[in-house]
Amino acid sequence: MNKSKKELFGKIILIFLLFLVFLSILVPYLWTISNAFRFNDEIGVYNNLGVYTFVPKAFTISNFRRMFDQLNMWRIIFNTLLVAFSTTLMSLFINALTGYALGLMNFIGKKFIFALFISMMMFPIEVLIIPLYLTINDLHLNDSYFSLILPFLATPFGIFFMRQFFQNQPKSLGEAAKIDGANQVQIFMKVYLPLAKTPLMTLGLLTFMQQWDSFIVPVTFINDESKLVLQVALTRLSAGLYMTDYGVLFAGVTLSIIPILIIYLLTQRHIQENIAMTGIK
Amino acid sequence: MRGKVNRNEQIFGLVFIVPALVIIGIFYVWPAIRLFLLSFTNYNVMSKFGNWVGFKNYASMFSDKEYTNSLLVTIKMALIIVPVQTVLALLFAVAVNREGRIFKFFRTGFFIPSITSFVAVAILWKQLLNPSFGLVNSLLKSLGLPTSQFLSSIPDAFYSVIFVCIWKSWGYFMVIFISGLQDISQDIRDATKIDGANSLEELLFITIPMLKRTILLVVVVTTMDAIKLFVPAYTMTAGGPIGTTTTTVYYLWRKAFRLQEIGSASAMSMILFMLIAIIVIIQFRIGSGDNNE
Repeated sequence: MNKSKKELFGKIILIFLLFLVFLSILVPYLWTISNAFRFNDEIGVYNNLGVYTFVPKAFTISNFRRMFDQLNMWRIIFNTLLVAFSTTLMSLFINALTGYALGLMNFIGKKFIFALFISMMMFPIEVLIIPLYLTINDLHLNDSYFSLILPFLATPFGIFFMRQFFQNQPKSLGEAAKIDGANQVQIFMKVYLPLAKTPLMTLGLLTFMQQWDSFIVPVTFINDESKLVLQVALTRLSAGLYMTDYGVLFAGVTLSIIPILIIYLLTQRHIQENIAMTGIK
Repeated sequence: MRGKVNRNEQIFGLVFIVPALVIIGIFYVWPAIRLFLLSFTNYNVMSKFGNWVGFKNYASMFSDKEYTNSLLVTIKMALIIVPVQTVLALLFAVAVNREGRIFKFFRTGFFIPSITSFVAVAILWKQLLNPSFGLVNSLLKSLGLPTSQFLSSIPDAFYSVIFVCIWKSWGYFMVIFISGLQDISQDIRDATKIDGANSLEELLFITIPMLKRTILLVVVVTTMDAIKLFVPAYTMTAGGPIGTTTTTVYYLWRKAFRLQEIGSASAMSMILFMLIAIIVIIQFRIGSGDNNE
């Protein structure tokens, strides 16, 4: 009895501590989101902890209106989603196809090509940004969506991840299909690709998140206002040429947080399980 | 018959890897070779022309005080971020890896900064740390503690950036650790309990040794992330004040794309590559240890 009381007491202390840590995450978000709905002259006025720290006294959506006036916001959202979705879908197919060929097929040169792909893991985008910029220039792709999409349609990690999966699938499935008259393309598309649903979900999620977060690439390759993506647009709001319009800035940050947060809360179990599954990014 | 099958597979195998080969060739392999070559030139973006200058870029690089400072800043950041973040992630993984709705709630909550973009996190904290209207100073004031200029003072700016990086990422690695913890069998835990071990003993003598591989992997990935830091310097501080938060990626990026000094910036990228290559090799050593088990 005494021991279980002690355990209960320990558990309450633990929950209390965890709650404090949770507050350190929640409070910054609440403060930011509430500021997005305040008039500029109210931002920062009610900072001493109280009701108005997290609830606007005079609620307004004028910050969002001004943001949509200052920046071509619909266009920016469209650009961001277009780049993230098209990269994710196409790279999933190419990485799966390559991982399948390297994991389940036999052909001369396979080992060398796999080693070549994997060795490229030593060249993250931060290292290659300079020559990649020059190459994009040579191909006349600067200021185009292609500059944000093409370089990421096949990734060393994606190929490695898909190969690990296909390598562990039985070869007999393909052989059986072959006896039934299926060709190599059909074997991949109809037999093996449907098996890869889970790893494709995982890789797709990671790719989408990476594209959504991507910053050094668009900030380097895109100058054309009409091709701006959300993350770069945010930094423009933050360091404007003129005085920062804080209301608009908070609105921008809120706009970039909320959609992803909603998707996460709806699918959070999958996301955490998937990230755990990759072992590491 | 058999030879025919193999030939068919040979052809299709090669055909299947063509798309990836083209992409990786154009956007990885060629740039990697080009980076190496550029680092020996004084290439100019405008004239698209450069002369071979030999090792000049490498030689002058290390007498560039701002560059050596940026390397030092990056290494110092990594040396703080990696251990602090790993320990935090591990401790909280152990703390929330329990049955019950409340712990599930915490697992969900702690992960939220990981799904927020780094730019959004950086701007969010830049405002929280705003000296005139930021919430952090207001809190410090109401608690009777001294306030700070944070991002425009030394060394507060340096520690603020480190804090923001950890705040953003520890939840991600907590999830990685939780999956590692769930692989440790309950039998082992129960046996420890019966042997009368307390929680601390269980953590030190059971959990940490069994998680050794996960810990090493998390350390490797966190180190990589810390070495590649760019967004906080760009968004929060512009590398200031006086280079306190200028990471090496931010410095070489500015050198290449603001000052147009492609050659010397490429030489700096080569140094970054060498640092990363060492870490990747360690990562694969750990990874191959996994296959032998």
